Amino acid sequence: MRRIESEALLLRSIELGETDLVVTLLTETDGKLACIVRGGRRGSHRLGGALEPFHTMHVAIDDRGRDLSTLREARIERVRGRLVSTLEGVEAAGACLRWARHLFPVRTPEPQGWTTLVALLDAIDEGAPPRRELAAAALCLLTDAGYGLDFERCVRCGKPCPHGRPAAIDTVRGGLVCQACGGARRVIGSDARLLAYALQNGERPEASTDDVEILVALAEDAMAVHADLAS
Amino acid sequence: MNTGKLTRLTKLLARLPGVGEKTAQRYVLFLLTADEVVARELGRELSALRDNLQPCARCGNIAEVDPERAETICSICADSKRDASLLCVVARVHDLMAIERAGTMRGRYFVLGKLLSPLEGVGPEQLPLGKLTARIETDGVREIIVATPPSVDGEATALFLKRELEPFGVSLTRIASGVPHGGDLEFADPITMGRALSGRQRI
Ligand SMILES: [Zn+2]
Ligand SMILES: [Zn+2]
Repeated sequence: MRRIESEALLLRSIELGETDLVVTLLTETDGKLACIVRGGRRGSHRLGGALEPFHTMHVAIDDRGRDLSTLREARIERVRGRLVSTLEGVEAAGACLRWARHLFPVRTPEPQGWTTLVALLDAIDEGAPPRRELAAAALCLLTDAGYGLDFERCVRCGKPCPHGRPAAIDTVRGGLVCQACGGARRVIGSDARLLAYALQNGERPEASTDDVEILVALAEDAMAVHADLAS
Repeated sequence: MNTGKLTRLTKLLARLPGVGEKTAQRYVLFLLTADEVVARELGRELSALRDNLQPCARCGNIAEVDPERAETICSICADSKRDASLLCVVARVHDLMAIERAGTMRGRYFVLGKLLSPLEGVGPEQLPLGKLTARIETDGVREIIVATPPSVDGEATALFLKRELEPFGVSLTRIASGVPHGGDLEFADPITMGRALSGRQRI
């Protein structure tokens, strides 16, 4: 048995019987893990109210290398009180953690994915617009998981997309597809494409609500290509 | 030994929350060997349960079906001494019962049946908001106590209700949360302590 000590985010919590919980955590060191929490439902003193999403926890896990590990300790390391006080913040952060749960395989360290999620939660907690941060994090999560969308050049022939022109995006093929290569059904405006490119590169330009929503929907579609988002 | 019927009942009982196979078997053997009246009465009550008790048409609480009435109404909604202008919104019937046990709630209830869950993708469209707003109008509700649990889902639901119900001009309050009665401040987690401080009251 191995003891894992790591920072972690709660991705899911399911009641098991009268007293226990099964939680899915994204740990910084070991990636996604499912753990049983004995007595977790009654809010045991040891774990207190620590098992809440959106705050960064420090956890101690006994890992047997298969199926369910056991969560031994959890305490809140960083409280994100501002995030959880707005509905928009909670909804955006919740959507992103849900996608991360579907996208990341178990027991695989996700250093980039971890950084993306922590950056999203911190940004929303510091008052950044939640939907724009969600669009940025969703596009980055795709990249982190190896499914990044290319908004710069055609994924088939490599031709750069001309400025000021609408762009056809194929989520299955992983980004732009130029006219000559057959285009794609989904077409986004030039501003949305530039915004996507900027967000992927860590910039945070002013953005219209419409463009932000176009990118959130696009990223969600791309995730659905690679993971079953309904489960 | 033919134990098909025994196994069947054991398996059914084991589906109840908190009951494992072993406990279920103990129940079955008890019912077989103890006073026959217990087993027969339990059987009668169980088979009539779903016909006799149904969700209250107004609030979602458990209500006894009255064949004389078209609508099934719970004892709280039927109680004319209850203040109709005060409505307490809860997630589940369990929570309603817990509040009733405290004995200080003089208004009526509305059971949501579920909470928003950002992590599980349960969105506002899955809450019975239309039924709740209709209740506000028909009953002339003036104050709503949002008694969803102090969890992220409970808070998200409270924030959502605030946004949706404010236009109705009702006074919206949220149950307090913080360090428990008889609790030790030393052991309070940072979230609980933060809430206890932000929700402090003048003494
Ligand atoms: Zn091309
Ligand atoms: Zn009722």
